[in-house]
Amino acid sequence: MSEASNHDVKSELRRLELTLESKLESADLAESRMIDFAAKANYAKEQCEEIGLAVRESVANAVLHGNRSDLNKKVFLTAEIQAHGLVIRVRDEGEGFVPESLPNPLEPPHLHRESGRGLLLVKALMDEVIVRRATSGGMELTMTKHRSKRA
Amino acid sequence: MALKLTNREVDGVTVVELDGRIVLGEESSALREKVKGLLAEGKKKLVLDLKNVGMIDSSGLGALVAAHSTATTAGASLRLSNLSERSNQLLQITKLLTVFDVSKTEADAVRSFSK
Repeated sequence: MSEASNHDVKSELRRLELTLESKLESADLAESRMIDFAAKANYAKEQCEEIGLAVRESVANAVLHGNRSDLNKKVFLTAEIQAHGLVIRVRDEGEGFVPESLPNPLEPPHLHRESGRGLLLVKALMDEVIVRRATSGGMELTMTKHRSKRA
Repeated sequence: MALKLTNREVDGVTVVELDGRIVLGEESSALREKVKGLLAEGKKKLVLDLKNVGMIDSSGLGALVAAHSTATTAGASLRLSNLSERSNQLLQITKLLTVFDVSKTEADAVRSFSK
């Protein structure tokens, strides 16, 4: 995949930083960069796919629901290999929301809805997930993937 | 990256083969449009064969739900077949296995319409 020139990318072996445009394509870019990063950090293929999908969902939420596709706003992604696993942060510049206020997509009234499953997937695919208001405004999602014993 | 959709008739059932990823953007839209088009043609028995689907994201799951709802509203039936382990896992996590009729193979899905 070719990278748009207006995305900033800083990558080291143990740390990756992406500053992403509020566009749908950012979800593709973030997913592919994170899969590469996790693979280089020796995560198992299946885990790399899970990380990629979780990042894709997080960035899509940040672009669509956080920044509301406002091109004046960015999505900031950092990934870092730490002792307990790969820690990824995705922050938007939106107005923020109360995580507990989101409808539960597993409950019958919402089961047939076409949207609202992104955060559920992130929580299922990653080992630790924290969603909170960032000190600088917007929402910040922090997710961690432990290394599987098979890796 | 694009999702390829090819349909053919098998024993009065319309089988749509999906090849690629069902994800946010053109891919999800293409699936919605395909199903709408088939329903507009009067097709009543649809199978979405996911054998060659590598990945589904939440938007893709939404497109599948939309396809199911649109079919039901039009008085048609829609089944899924050949789910990969990953696709099956995603439908399980989201409880969508309780929404969709799922067959192991395309042939099973086609046969299920004649029961």
